[in-house]
Amino acid sequence: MNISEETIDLYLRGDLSGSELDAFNNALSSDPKLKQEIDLQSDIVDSIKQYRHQQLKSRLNSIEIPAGAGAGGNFTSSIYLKFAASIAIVAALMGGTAIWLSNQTNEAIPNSVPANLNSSKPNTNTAESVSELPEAIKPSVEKEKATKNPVSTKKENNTIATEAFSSKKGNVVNTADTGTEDISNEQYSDHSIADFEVPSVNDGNTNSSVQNIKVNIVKEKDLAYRFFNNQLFLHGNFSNSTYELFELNTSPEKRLYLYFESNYYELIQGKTKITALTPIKDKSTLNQLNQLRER
Amino acid sequence: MNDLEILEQLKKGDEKALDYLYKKNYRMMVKMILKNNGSEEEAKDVYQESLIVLWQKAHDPNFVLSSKISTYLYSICLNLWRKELERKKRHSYEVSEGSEIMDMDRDERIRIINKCIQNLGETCRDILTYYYFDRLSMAEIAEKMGFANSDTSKTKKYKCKKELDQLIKSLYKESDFLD
Repeated sequence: MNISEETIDLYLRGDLSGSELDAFNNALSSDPKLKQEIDLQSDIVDSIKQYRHQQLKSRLNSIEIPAGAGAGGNFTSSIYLKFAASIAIVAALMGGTAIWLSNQTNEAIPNSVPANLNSSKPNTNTAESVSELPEAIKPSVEKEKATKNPVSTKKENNTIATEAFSSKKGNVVNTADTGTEDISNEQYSDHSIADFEVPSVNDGNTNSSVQNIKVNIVKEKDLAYRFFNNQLFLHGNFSNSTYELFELNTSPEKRLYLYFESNYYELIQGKTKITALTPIKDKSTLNQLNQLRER
Repeated sequence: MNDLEILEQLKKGDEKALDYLYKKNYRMMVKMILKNNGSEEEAKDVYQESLIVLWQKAHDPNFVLSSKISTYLYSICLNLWRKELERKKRHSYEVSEGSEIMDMDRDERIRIINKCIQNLGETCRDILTYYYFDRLSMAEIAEKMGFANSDTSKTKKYKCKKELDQLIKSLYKESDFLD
């Protein structure tokens, strides 16, 4: 039986049915060469689909949900003001030391109050099903010392900024009282902040967009991150191994990834509250990231 | 926008309708999962997956919406979350050993494929993803991409697929995985 390209395409798209599908399957089982080709083609189509799936997902992920839309924010305006005030202090301390890349990213990181204060409260009363999650996401507002070395990292389409950092520990973080009932009883963990540099590793491409990433390490047991005041805060124990930051250029926007201890994590640039990091499991994304990292 | 209009937009492959739905139902869906022992991150993830399910379903010619979109979305969300809970339950009994038996050749092949998809021009990539994932018709692709007509889409899609195949096969041969 001679199988036309059109039939193959219909098969790959899942549009064959009934007798056509039977005939196709018969042809497959009797023609190893065709079988080999279709196996390859199926992998190609699967990868195309995964690409699109990932693209749509990152599109949704980049949408900002208005305050209170999430877990049902119920903080009052006075808390809002108090919180905003503490942010203003932090902002003053940092005094424009770090600038995120392009305009669009600046838009994506609002200089305002994180939306759902109470949603960052750890779910302590949910039993076994949440046990896999990093146990607690501690709400805290750090007053960081003014950063010393905002290092510019040239960003291309696929840039790898490799971190080989020397951490200066001991900058004590004062936690500001955010004033919410929900979190006031929380024990603030003992943060320490390490300032370090981001040396740039250029992979040869040139591109006009230049990015300054200022990364702050907050020493803590569980991996988490947030973007705040145009800086990236990584929470976790980074003293034993190095980590790497990647930028992956998937349309419609660039996405930032962290590589640490054999896992990849996505860093979403709109996250202003502390967000737990969970390893990426999606095969196609992992593949893309591995390729990027190997370069 | 009412449900019918939204569905029309979804069928056309208009991502703005997806954005709109996402924002509109976020609160309800996330709340549902939070109430069912989920974290906000999990809730968000499951909700996003549900929307993508709806996105693909909308292109199925046999798809009939028998309820409100939000109700439908809610049921997908709930189902996905139940599955996720079951998965977690199963996993919690095993110590994560991560011993997946992997087909190295296939891994390499998929790595090459992904690389080629990345390297493909944006237009080609869009056409192919709209065709295979979104399941848009040639006429719909033409409208979305601003082509003259469905024949243009068809020709382009054919060429793009050929280009991708050739790219993959050349790299694939280079790495000596065939023969």
